[in-house]
This record gives sequence, structure tokens and C-alpha cells, in this order.
Amino acid sequence: MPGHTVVASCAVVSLLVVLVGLRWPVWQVQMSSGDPTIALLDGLAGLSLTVTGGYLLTRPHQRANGGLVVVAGLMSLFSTLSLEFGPAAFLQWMSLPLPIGILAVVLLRYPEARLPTRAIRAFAAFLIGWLFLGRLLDAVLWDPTWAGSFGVWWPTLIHNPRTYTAAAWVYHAGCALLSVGLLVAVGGRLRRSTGLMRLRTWPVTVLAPAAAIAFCLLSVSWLMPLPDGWLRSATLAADIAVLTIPAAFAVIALQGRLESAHVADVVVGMAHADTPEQIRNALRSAVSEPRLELAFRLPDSSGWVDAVGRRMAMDDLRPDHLLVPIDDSDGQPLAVVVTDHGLAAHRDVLDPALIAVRLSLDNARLQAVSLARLNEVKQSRRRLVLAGVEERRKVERDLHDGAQQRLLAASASLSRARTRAPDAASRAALDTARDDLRAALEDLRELAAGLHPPVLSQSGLAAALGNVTERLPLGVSTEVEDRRWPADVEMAAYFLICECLTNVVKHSGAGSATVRASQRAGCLLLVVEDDGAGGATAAAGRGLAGLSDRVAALGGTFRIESDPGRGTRVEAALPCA
Amino acid sequence: MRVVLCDDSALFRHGLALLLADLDVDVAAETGDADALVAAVSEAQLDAAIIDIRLPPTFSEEGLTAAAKIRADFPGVAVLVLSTYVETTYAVRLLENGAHSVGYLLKDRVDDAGGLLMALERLVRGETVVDPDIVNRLLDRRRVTPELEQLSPRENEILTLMAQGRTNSGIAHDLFLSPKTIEANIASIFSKLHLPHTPDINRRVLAVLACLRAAG
Repeated sequence: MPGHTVVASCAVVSLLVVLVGLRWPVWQVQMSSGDPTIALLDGLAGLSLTVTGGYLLTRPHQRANGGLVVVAGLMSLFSTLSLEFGPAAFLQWMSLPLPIGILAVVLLRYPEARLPTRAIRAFAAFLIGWLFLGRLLDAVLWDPTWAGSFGVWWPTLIHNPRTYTAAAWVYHAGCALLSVGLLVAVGGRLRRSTGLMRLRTWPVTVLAPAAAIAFCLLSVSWLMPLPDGWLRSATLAADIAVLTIPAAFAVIALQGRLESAHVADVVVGMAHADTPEQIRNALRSAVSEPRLELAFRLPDSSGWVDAVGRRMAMDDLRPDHLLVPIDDSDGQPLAVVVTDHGLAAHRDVLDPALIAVRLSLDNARLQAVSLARLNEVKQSRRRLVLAGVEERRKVERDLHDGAQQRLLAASASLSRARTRAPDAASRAALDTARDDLRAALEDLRELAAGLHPPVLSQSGLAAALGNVTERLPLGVSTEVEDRRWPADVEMAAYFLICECLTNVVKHSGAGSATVRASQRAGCLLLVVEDDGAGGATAAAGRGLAGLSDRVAALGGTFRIESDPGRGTRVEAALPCA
Repeated sequence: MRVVLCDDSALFRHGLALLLADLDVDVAAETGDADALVAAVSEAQLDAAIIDIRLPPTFSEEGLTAAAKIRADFPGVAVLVLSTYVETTYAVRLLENGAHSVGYLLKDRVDDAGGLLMALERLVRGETVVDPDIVNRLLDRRRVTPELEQLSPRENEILTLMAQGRTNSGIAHDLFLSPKTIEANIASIFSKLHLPHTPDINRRVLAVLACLRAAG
């Protein structure tokens, strides 16, 4: 324990002893003449707060909160002393409501050392300001002699009991509203927090509303006459709520021990985790944070990738995320843990988990980097296939707009020439030219349609396949969903089905075939089935292997069922994002 | 006869315009896109509009849309849609909105001046014209349904001409048969194919095309 902590602890303990000593006579009077339960709890509240604060001071990351709780506890003790000299009574008056404000701040930010949002910070500032300035206003309008206290120093400015009553009414009404506000704020925090944060703060978040409700009742008791016993119940509730706060922290501490045991289990589990994804999942489970990510830097420093090889934009993350770098034993950076900023207060859980994964991470980093490379290769392979498809579309367009129209124009000219041909011999020559031109146009049309059928981009897969199947020498029933898919997916699907149907006609000897195309779970699912000989394989060098490669390049899956004598069924799923 | 031409290929459009002029068809306007076509149709007193199926801006179905619009807004103007490709899907879609004075031909037909002129005249008379290639493609299959198999060779011939939009008298003229024989044959075809008998020639075209496509 560092020296200044010892000094601080001694100071707190001494102050406590002095305050308890001073409090003692008041207590004795209260015990004998007033309500002994309230008297006991009243005194214990301040004491227990001080002890709780002292405990928090010894916890990692909780010095700031611990200090505030100690101050609140000492103030609370001080305000219940019986000090009837000089300005002491006035100071007590002022310090009575402040512990509530301080505790509200601690409850709103625990376990972190700062208030989470601007709205919450504004609320806390307003609460403290109201408690302090409102009380001060009350003080300057109050005259202690009205209550029979003579001889104490008091900064009275206005001697008018009615003004005082009005001001006190406003002050307590504000206090009641602020209690409601505190309830809302704590509720909001509980709703937003996840994982470890929620687990670790629930006792506090459950107690805070109890304290807020009790404070609210106390304030309301000022505003209107409450039924018999309500004031006493509210005072009791407030005291008990404050008294339970140390118990809540004890529960949290116990939970921390249990979590450490859980982390130990996870560490054992990590010995078996060797892919980046497994390690990330183990870490997520260790710190109960399902959104935690592991980021690996690419070797050429061109960026970051996550555990499954996806690119990560680290610069966008910085403001509201906690980034914890992990280095190997030589101090070389291995990875960065990216997680919710709330985990900064739980480094006691996070750090052991990170040490445990360090060994596995070296392997994992290599894997993540290879995964990223693989992803890039997959992407470029997909682009290559799609570029090929697009190129066919362009060539078809060029043929259509160029050669085909030119030949058709020539055909019209030839037709004119024939109507004017003077004799049978010229007509016969022109007829030959026309027949040649017809054949040329037919060849060109076949070529262009084979490159890319215009009806596909114009009307979709169903219409394009209809034009194909109606020309086949066998009956093909088509069940194609009447909808559009992305153009590149439609083209890939069209050529895939055409090749399958060509295979059916050439090799299967089938009497009929079925083509199905439908949307299934983000994919265009294609099925081409026939009742032919079967026995088809996707062995290297065969046509089906080429199909399989192309589907794989587009990130899809490809399957053939073709037992001899039982027909062939080709199934392909093309992802369409 | 007065017509307008709409095709984004100036080369083909020009060639066709010269051919039509030779056939004493008056080409009132030539346009390259559908909007200009509709404007031209509303200005001139026309008999027919000849429209390329593939028009800017998207080169998808602008031609079909323009054809439907002209048939709806100017019932006196016949529409002949020209296509570089044989696409039964488009032919059927074109005729679905009403087959009177609507035709679908391959651009290749410009190589037969007489045939082209006859098709235009039939359209202006209110008949339907379907490119023989489309009908042939539908019939030209090795695998035929049991219903189609029952047809005699003569009935097959008549079915083909019906699908092209020919009238009874036109079919009788082509096949050197009496109209009575044709009517008897058509009745037999309709009962063998289980088609509803309709006296409307244009509705008959659609029924036959639909039947042939369904046989696929």
C-alpha cells in the first residue's frame, strides 16, 4: 500500500472517531427521548457510507468514487451532530442535503470515474446546484430564533416567515422532481448497459432507485401532510437504502471473485483456441462482451482486419471504444482489442484474459492476415468472372448496333435493287445475294445471342430461359420466380443453366428436364434436373468442372447428384447481396 | 399509305425509308427515339408506325411501350414492331394488349419488299401479323405434345398460317383451297387442341400462340 494511502486512511479513521465521539451525546438523547430506531439508523447511515468509501478507495479504478463516498459519509455524520455554537449550525444546515447529491453522482457513474453522457453531466450539475444554492436561499430566509435557537451565528437576510415557507416549498418540490429525474437516469443506464457492465452494476442500479424514492418521499413530506407513519417510513427507507449500499458493494466484490474463476475457465479453454475467430469468441465470453473485436494490422501497414479477415476502419472507432494493444514477449504488436469503453473499469477481468490469449495470438495473427489475403483473392476472382460476363454484354451490344444493323440496311438496299431488276438473270443473282445475306444475318444473330441474350437484361431470367427452352428438342418445364436479381447474378445464372441444358441435350439422352430458379436465404438457388442416363462428374477438365469453378468464383456453392441410371441433378446457389 | 419510322440505327432507318419510298409508301417522319415517335404520330395523319423494339434510353422495352401507347391513343394507326431477334416473349406481350392492327416482324423481312408491303397492308386492314420464324420456332420441335401429334399435315399447315395472323380467306388463297374446307379444318384443329372457338381472327392468333408456347 503506497504511503499516501496510509496517511489518507489514518486521516479518515481519525476524523471518523472524532465525529462518532461528537455524535455520541446526541445519540444518547435521541435514544431515550425520540424514536430509537430512526436515531440508530440516522447515525449508522453516515458511518456505513464512510466505511464503504474507504473500501472503494482500496479497489482499482475506484479511488475517485471512493473519495466522494467518504466525503458524503463524513458530511452526513457531521450534519447530525448537535453543534450549537458559532457558524457550526449553519454549516450543518448546508451540509445536510449535499451527501445525497454526491451519492447520486457516484451511482450515476459507477464503476467509471466520469459521468457517461452530456445529458447526465448536466443533470448532475443541476442536482448539486439545486441542493446547494436552494439550501443557501432557504438559509438566508430563515431565522433560527423562530425555532428557539438563540446565540448561533446565522446569515439571515429577510425576516419573514411567509417568504421562508414559500421558498422552502419551491426547494422541496424541486428536490422531489429531481428524485424522479434520478430514477429515470438510472433506469436508462441499466437499459443501455450490456454484458459485464450490467452484471457488475446491478446492485447499485437497484439500490439507487430505492434511495431516490425515499428522498422523494422525504421532500414530499415537506410539501403536504402525509398520512400518519409515512414520514417515519420514508425516513426509515432512506436510512436503510443508504445502509444497504455497502452490502451492494460487497456483493459486487464477491461477483468479481466468481468472474475471476470464470476467466480461469476461459483461459483453460483458450489453450484449445487457435483460429482468430475462436480466440475472439473466447475473449467475448471471458469478459461477457459480445461485441468485442480483435484487430490485426496487415503486414504492409495498409490497414486492419478483424478476426474473420474483414477490413476494419480503426480511425472511426477511437472516440467511443476502448483499444487495448497486445504485444508479444518481444514487444512486437500482435493485435488490438477493440471493445466498449465501459470495459476500461474492468481491466481486472480483461487483462488476465489478454495475457492468456497472447500465446495463441501469434498464430492467429498469421491466420487473420492470410484470411484477409484470401478474401482479396476471392474478390478479385469474382470481379474477373463478372468482367468476363460484362465483356460479353458489350460485344453483343456492339454487334447489334454495328454489324447487324449495317447488314440489315444492306438487305433493304438489295431488296430495292431486286424490285428494279430489269431481267430474270439479275433477279436470280440478287436472290443468291439475298440468301447469302440471310444466312450471314442468321449466323450473326446466333453468335450475338450466345454472347448475351438481350431479353435477359430487358425482361429477366424467366423470359430469357423461355426463349432458350422453346428451341430445345426436349420438354423442359421451367419454374422461375418472376422477379429480378442483380444483373451480374442473372447473367451468371443464365449461362450456367444454358450450359447445363446443353449437357442434358448432348450427353444425358433425357426425355425431359426441369429448371428451377428461386430466392433462398440471400442466394439465387438454381436447380437443373433431367431423367437421363446420369453418371456425370465435375472431374477436372470436364465441362461441369468449369461450371463449378465459376460458381465458386462468385462465392456460391455447386452440387451434382448423378448416379448412373438415375438422371442428373445440378444445384447451384449464387449469393446476391 | 403514310407511315412513320422509329429506329435508333440511322443506317437501317434510312435503308428502310428508301425501300418504302420505292414501294410508294409515304414516309412522313423518321425518328430515333420513342418520345419523338409519339410526337410525330400525333401530328401527321398516318396509317402505320414502324417501330424498332430496342430504343433509347435503356434499350430495353421502349419500343413495346411506345407501340402500346400508340395503339391506345391513336386507334387508327397500325403498329409494326421490328426486332433483330426472334423473341416469342415479346411477340406475345405485344399482342396481349389487343392484336388488331398489331404486327411483329424480324428486321430481316426487309429483304422481301413484296412481303413487307403485304404485311403493312394487312395491318392497316386491321389484321394481325406474326413473323413466320416465331411460329416456326414454336412448331419446329422434335418433341410434340400428344394434342399436336393428332393434327394432320394439312391441319399443321393451316395452324402455322393461323398463328401468323392470316385470315381464313388468306389461308384459302395461299393453299389453293375453298374457304369451306379451311373452316372445316380450323374447327377440327380447335377441337383437337381443346381451344375455345372464336370468330375473332386476332384473338385466335393469341390462343394459338399461347397453346404452342404452353406445349413447350
